[in-house]
Amino acid sequence: MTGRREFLLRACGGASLLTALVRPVRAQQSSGAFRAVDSAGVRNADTTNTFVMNQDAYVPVHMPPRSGAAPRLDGAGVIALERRIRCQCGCTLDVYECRTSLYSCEVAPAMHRDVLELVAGGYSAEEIMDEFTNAYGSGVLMAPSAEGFDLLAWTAPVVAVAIAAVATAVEVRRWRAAARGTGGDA
Amino acid sequence: MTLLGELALWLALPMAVWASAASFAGASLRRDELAASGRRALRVAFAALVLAAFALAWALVKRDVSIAYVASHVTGNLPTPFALAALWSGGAGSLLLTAVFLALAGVIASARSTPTGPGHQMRVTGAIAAALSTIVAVVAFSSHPFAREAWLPPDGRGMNPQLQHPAMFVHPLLLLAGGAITVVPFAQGVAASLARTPDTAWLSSVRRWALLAWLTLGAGIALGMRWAYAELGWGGVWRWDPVQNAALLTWLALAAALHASAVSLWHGVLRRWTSALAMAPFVCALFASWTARSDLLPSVHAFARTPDGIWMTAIVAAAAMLVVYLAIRGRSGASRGALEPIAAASRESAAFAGSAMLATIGFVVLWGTLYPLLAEWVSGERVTVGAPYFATVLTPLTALALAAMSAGAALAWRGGSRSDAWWRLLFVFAVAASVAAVLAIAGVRLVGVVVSVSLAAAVLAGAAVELAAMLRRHGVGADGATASMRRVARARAVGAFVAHAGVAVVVIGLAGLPFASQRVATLEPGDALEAADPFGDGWRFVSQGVSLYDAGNQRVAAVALDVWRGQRRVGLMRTSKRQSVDAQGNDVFEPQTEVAVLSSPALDALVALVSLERETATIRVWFRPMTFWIWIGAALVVGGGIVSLLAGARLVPERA
Repeated sequence: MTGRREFLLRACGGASLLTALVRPVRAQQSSGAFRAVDSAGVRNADTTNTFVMNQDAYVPVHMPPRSGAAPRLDGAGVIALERRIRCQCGCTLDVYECRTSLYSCEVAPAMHRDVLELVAGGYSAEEIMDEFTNAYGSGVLMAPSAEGFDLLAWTAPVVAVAIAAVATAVEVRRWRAAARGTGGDA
Repeated sequence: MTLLGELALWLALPMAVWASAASFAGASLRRDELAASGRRALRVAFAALVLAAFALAWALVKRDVSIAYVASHVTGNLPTPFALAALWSGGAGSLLLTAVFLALAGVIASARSTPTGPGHQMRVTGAIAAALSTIVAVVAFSSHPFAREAWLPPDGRGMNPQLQHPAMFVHPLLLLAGGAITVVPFAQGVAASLARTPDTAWLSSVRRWALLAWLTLGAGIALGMRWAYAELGWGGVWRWDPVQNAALLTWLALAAALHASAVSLWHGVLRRWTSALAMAPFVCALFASWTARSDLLPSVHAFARTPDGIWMTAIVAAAAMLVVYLAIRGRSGASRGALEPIAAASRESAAFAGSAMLATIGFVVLWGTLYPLLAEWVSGERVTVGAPYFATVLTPLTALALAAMSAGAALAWRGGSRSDAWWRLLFVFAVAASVAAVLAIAGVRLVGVVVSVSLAAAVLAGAAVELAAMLRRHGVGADGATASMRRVARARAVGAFVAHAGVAVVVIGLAGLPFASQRVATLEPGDALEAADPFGDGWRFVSQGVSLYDAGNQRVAAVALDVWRGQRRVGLMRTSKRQSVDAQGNDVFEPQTEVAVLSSPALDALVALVSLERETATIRVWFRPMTFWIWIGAALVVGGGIVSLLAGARLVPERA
């Protein structure tokens, strides 16, 4: 009796040990490329220049074409526009850069098709940007907008330049004043 | 070996702590033997850290996958040099290596005798050892480079194939070393502020160390730009990634400190500003380390989400507060007497303006990097601050900086003595005006490009005039050309003018970026992609077919293209897709595209394999004008730094 019990216990222990060992190995092998992702989709590789490519981040952006509309943007205009729209795959690049350099990304080409469709539909760059912002949120822009709180992003550098200019002028004047005080001829 | 490494790491920590405590105690109690003990402890800490790094490198090379760090960075079939490079491809390893560099800088800085007095030297050693202690504490308590795997994996996870590149042996090391060297100016600023020392002798030492850090970091950044330029998906020469921005910020802060010291070293002004700027770069370097270890800012350069991020947040915040406190409290700039006359229109005021401008540009880079956090905190919505923002904000600032550089070359030191200054000013800005006119006539309509290129030409003209004047002054004497070159190289600020010329050349190279164009085509063997480059020349890229082969740990599919420019054959370009495999032959990581680059002064042509189906290859071709000059300019910047460093032996101010 005890022998059988012992045997069963050992078998259970052995089996659980085996599964415990095999599972992580399987998990690693089955993913093929050790995509730097754990089950929660969080980056866990302790190395640089990897990121989690989210191929499902595409959101359709469509608007009916304007009647009798002619495209307002040429090829260069489309590139300039796509340089202001951020690809959502996780690469942190703009749509143009991503679709021309990350060939495994499916998000940027899809966003590119939407841009082309809207351009063909006669919409302006700003209208297209607005529509993308409506669909994805302001994170789809490569730079903050110049309205509301985001105005601060643009004004702070101007203020910094002004402070630096005033401080430089004051300091240089002080040099001259101090030099005069000691009898120098400035 | 692993055990030895871990023990060495745990030995380094108390040694660094003791080095700091004994050095500070030695300084305040005026006991030399305590300070000597501190110096010895710092040396032991350095040796221990070298041993720890060696042990980790040994484990990597031996592929000891029982260690978690090894298992997550190498595979059995990874070429051994890259297995060694895995020492700095991960968070724990690179932090350990940072500690090694910090300790080395500390050992050298504490061994050198300076004219600043023993008390200052002891405090410098103490401050460096304190910084070292915190970093070693993070490595020992949080990164755990020697932690074991809970189970023995059949093979490691491997190194990201994009990192398996020769630049991997230089770029990261230069960045880590450059960042670590900033600890010396930091420690000197801290020591001077603590002692409230009124003399400026320490500034010449600060200048040398800042110069060394600046050119090391500059070379590292430039090499990284070149690497990213040829690596697909890294966003070209610069992508305004937080980790890149932080490295740039450190470099800018160092440059600002150098410009400030060019004034404060020679005159009794700007000491406080110089002292604050001497301390700032190390905080920036810590910030750079933080951006790579925190998941608050999305970056492709970031390491894993590790607990190190929280530690680094605390360390960066503490260091920043310390610097702000010391800068406000500092009495090192108190002396106001004994000023020599300096005119407003002088090279000193241009250098100071340059320092202020570099600091402002640094602030803008920091602001743009951190703004997403602020915006998310306030409005709850994540915004991106990317290239369009920085291009808009930094183009006018760069133009201002270039204008100050050209003015600085025209003006005389102290402003007074040179009669030809106004003629020089007229000359450099006439050069700018004519270049602007030529560009406008040539049909360049981008205002930012016209302004920055013409001002860059003015900087070049100013540097040329100044170098010519130096040659005249130190002209070829009876002792021959070599001796006179040596005299010129030692003349004050000659390195600075070479570096300024380099910056101007980099700007000219960057100005070519908006004119890039690209074409894509699907080619059967023998088919040609035909395209015109931005200068109007016709190019033909003729597919020579596809070849498949194994190369070490990679399965390669390559396409060769015969390249013709007009009627002239310019060469064969090969682009490939590479799938990395581990020792069992399993695919690891995403396939990677290897780009071919054909470089010439006017234009680079780049070719990439987009996709492949049997013999049919889809190829993308880029034309990038002027990129060549970015690398020439960067080499000049670094070369100027080296000239300044070598001339620095004579940097004790002479009264002109």
